[in-house]
Amino acid sequence: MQIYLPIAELAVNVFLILGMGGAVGFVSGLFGVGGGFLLTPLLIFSGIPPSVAVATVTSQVVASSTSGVLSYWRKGGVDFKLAGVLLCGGIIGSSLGVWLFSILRSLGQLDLIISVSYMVLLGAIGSMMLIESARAVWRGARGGSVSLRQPGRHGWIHGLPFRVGFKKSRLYISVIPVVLLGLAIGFIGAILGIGGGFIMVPALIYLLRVPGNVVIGTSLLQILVTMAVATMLHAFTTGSVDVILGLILMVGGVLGAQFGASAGQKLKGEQLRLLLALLILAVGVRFLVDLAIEPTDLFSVAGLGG
Amino acid sequence: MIGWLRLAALALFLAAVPARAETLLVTMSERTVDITSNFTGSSITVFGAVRRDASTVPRASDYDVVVTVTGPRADRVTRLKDRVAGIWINRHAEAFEDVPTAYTVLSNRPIEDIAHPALLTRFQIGIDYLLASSDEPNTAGADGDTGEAETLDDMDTSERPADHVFERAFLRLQRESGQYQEDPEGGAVIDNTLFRARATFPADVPLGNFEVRVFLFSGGALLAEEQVGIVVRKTGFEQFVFRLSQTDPFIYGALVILLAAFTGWLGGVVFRRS
Repeated sequence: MQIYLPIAELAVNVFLILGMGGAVGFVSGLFGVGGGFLLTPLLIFSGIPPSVAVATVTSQVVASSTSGVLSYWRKGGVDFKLAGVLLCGGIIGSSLGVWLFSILRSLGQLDLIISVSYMVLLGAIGSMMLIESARAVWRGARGGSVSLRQPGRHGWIHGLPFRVGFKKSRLYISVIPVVLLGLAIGFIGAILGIGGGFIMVPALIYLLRVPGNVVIGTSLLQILVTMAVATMLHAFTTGSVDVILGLILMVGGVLGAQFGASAGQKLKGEQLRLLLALLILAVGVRFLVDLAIEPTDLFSVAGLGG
Repeated sequence: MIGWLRLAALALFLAAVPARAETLLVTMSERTVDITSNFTGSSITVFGAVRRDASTVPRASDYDVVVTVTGPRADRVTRLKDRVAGIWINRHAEAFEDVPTAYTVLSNRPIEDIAHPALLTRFQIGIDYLLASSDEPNTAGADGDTGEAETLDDMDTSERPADHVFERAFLRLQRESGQYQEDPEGGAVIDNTLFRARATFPADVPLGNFEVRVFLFSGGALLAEEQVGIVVRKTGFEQFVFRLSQTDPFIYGALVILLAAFTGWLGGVVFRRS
């Protein structure tokens, strides 16, 4: 069944888009990430203009993180103060990102920047996670216990000024790295149409040493608000948020996430991280291949504005 | 007295139009292409008659009809990728200003058989003659250029490629995307008096005012031309959504966010019970 998208100005197959939303929702429920890093490339590969794909996925991330935040909130797994500080950086970051997005679009290098950024980002994060989780799985197999939180160890981050207490996370740290982390993720998110959960979660765990029970809820809240702001900014500057496309993706994503979440409970944490690392690396490699192999058509046509 | 005046007026009129040529009567199955949520493309039939009167000179050859449908004009950029440091990036570009975003040519036989390329260029009939400017008669494409791909392969990539390379690539891509169409059998002349042509619009048709032009040829000469406008527009919900996103981005953005939050909340509620 074909449906016409009023902003993208083309017709798409509803079931194809619903299926993509569902598959990515499944992955997102399974690993507790937003899944934007998979959904945006899928939409671009299926012919949706990159600007519409990026802007619309930001709205889909709002939907998927809303269910997550509500369920973690009920379990007391959200540190509102920490999320608030992250957000201060996040909003500045997304504004910068959306601004750069429109400049790159007029220069004609948006596709390149999106591809290279995905490749570098996914390659780096995927490799790091792969090494970490492979070690954990190996240690787990030898029967040793795996602890992510090592309270006795304090890195350079814990020596910075402007220290603030975050009661829920049982942390007393400087706001500088928190704001910078939010800024970086907001910036990347606005350009790539991703929530950044797959960067935020490891960063909160390894850099800030936030306890595991509040990591995902807090990260989801920060993503929810940052992506809501990014949706608004895209609506203003590029006008490329497609509500119909967004709605189909949201429905698919919310359905898929439920099945993913129940499947996720059957796997161990380190096994999940290993699988996620492989998935992230695979998408990164796909971008590398696309950039390195000679395209079948060297020419492309676009409007002056993108 | 009045009779004399009438006669004088008629004489003047006849003097102003010495050899009365054919005129075209043109009508269409529809004047608008309405885009709704189930829009997957559409078509419009252009039809009409060649009108002759007693003073029309007899023609040695049969009539040929060419129908062009030109979409709203916009600026376009054609970019060429090149390998830089191992990856393929957009390196060269050429802008095409004020070109049709959509263009269809329908005729009863190949347009090169109907009229001379110079004439086609002058009236911008045919995809190959669309971008050629009228002051420098460009017959490229007419005499069967076959070496498009070859020139590219031999091209020294350190130098900026010649202009016509971009022009050809632009036209080729527009053809491949279905925005530029050429059908030498899409039009028909019936009994040397009636004609019809069917123009199709793809699902991603550009929106705006389209211009339908009908040209009547005989023996390579242009005898008459008629022009009618049609509108491609979104209707109903699609139009409402698009207009809102343009005129009130704040309200539009807020609605999208609320919709997203509601969908997420609803999903959580529905599945918590089961």
